[in-house]
Amino acid sequence: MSDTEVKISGNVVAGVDVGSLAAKSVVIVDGKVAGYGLIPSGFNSEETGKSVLQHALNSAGIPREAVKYIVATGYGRISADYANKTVTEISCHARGANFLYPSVRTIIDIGGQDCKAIRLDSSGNVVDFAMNDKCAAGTGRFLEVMSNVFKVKLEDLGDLALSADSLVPMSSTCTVFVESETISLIARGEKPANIQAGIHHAIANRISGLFSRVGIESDVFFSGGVAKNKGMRKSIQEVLKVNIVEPTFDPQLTGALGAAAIAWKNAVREGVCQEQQPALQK
Amino acid sequence: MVTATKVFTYPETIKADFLKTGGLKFGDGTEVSAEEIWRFMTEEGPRRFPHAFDASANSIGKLSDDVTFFSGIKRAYLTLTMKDRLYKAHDNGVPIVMIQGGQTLDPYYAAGGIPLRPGYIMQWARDVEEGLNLREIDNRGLEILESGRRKVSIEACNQLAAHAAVANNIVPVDLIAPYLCLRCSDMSFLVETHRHKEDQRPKYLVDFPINQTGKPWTVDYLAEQLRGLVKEVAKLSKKEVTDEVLRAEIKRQNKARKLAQEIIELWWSAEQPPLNSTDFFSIPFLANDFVGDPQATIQVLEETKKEVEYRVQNKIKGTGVVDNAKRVFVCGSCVGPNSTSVERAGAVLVGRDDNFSCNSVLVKEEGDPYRNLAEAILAFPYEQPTEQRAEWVAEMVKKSRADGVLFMYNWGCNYQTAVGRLISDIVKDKTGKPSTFVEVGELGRSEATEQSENRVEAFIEMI
Repeated sequence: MSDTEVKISGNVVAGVDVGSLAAKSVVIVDGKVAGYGLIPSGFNSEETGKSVLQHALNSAGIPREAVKYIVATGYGRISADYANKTVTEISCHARGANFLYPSVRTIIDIGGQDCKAIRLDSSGNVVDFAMNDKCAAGTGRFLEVMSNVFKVKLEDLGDLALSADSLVPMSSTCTVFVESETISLIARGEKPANIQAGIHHAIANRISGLFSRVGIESDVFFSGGVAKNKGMRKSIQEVLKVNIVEPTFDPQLTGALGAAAIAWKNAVREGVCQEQQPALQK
Repeated sequence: MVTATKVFTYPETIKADFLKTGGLKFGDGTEVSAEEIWRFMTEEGPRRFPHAFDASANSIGKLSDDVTFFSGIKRAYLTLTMKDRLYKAHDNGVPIVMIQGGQTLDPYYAAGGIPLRPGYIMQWARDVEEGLNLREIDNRGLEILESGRRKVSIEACNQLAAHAAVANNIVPVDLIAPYLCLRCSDMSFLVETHRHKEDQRPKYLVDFPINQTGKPWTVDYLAEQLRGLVKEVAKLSKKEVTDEVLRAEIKRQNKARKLAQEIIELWWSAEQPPLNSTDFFSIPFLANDFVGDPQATIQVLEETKKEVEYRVQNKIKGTGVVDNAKRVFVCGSCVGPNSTSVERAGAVLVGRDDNFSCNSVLVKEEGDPYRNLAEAILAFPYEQPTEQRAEWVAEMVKKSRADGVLFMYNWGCNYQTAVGRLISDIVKDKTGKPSTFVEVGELGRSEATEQSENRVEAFIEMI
């Protein structure tokens, strides 16, 4: 029996995470990750969700009709008629992190439009969380604004911050204020790398405010699209004085992976899929 | 994606039973039959106030799906016809008074006025023009709010909308006379703004001895403030207000407070929630706001109690509440979670510190009514120093068997923003129940509320 035939043997579930900037999907077959997709979020949440799911299925070589259970998450989940269930991304990030690293008890998630501090137990259940409220400060969108100001690609911002020789103190309260401060600093002749280091620290400070409420327990995992930014990882480690687990799987897919893990659990519970041993594997 | 509007309708199958429940009697001596209430709620209401009959889950003020809870239909009738009663009363010389929410209304009614908290003023102002759908009425509300922001400050909280409605004479308010108490830092600020360009409208502020509770002089001080308040309202109503008149009003409003307490206790005692979150949360509001008519409202509360008793005895669950729903206690003022989305996420709302506070203290009925009122007001748990308020909330959380505590406040609310974290942490510590706090920016708006709902839903998943 070929690999593809194994995959379409029946035990196929998927998680779809339609966020504000990116849509992600992970496909699980027989309890194992078989494929994933990552595309920019379009204007139509429903179409974006279906499209990213198809990307993930294509990467796994699985036909759409083989999928037995879908969990949708992220802000686009309200338009997800294709899903069997919707779950908030907070629960999905917890489940996804637990799936990857069962020893994780704290998650820092920085997505496109919000940031979250999540505490979880050994089963991946959320025990407490805090989110920023309706403000772009401390989010991926904040970094996007800054990449525009510096005319630097978003993915190069972190490296720019890492090359700083000193750190400019910046406001952590408001994206627009920081943009104004940045423009003044550029006009004054400050090195872009030092300004970037200051901005990354400002975001890390913003995040640390969330942890004052929920607390931190090791191991700490950094999820979301911004987790790919090495400068951000360094700043958070410095501000929070913690070590962050080194990711072995794309951290931007954590929410979709968690959704898929929940889909798998539900599908097994409802008898739609058969439990395999070991139950879930990376 | 904007979907077609789903219109809420009451099924004809319940009509015969509803008509058996009888009509309502109002304070001005008029009556309305059950037949007329039914006609209004099925014909006139949907035509005049289409937004109220929008069955979209995002509509925070949507009518309850529990159509066999007949007192709920009467409550909705009182709310939708409030505008008509207010115009009629005002035309007959009854002064309309803008007040602070969550405080005792006895002095205002005793003095012949109709007190309205900012929420009701906003409702009235938005409904001046009829026939608006949900989006149109949201836009109407925003238009009023933004006119206030242009005049005052973009930093003021959304309660500014009610003040703008008054200042722009969208609704006829004769007197601005709120309590200044420990719940809202914006009230005094906003009242001051009325002094700008509208000196002609009378104002009377009932000062609250903040941080002086427990000191004997505070009762005399507040009692004196209340005498001044009654005189100010009576000046406009031309009513003679003896101590006996005030005592009679206290007795009447104590009846409402007791009914609210009894209904809440009954609801809490039930194995399954006998009313859904929308209906249950309306009870303390009714007992403290009266929708402009205490007599009719107390009748609705009495009928509510009977229906709740019947449901508790017969283990009937409120429509929309899932089996083994998670129980969420709410803290904070002015905004609350969307009942429909809370229930969709598998939870039910079991209480709220703000509205429960003013019903939790009965006013003494014998002796100096002003001192009695002052004593009661000074004992309202919501207005105590923050740690004491939190201790009281912790007790309520235990009594209501809540699984979690959700503190919600409006963007720009300087007071609740400051205490939200402290109260959440103390309550969590005292009860062992998880708590969270959510700041929202959509007070008075029905659309694009998903981000706030997302936080509430995540909290419900957690508990």
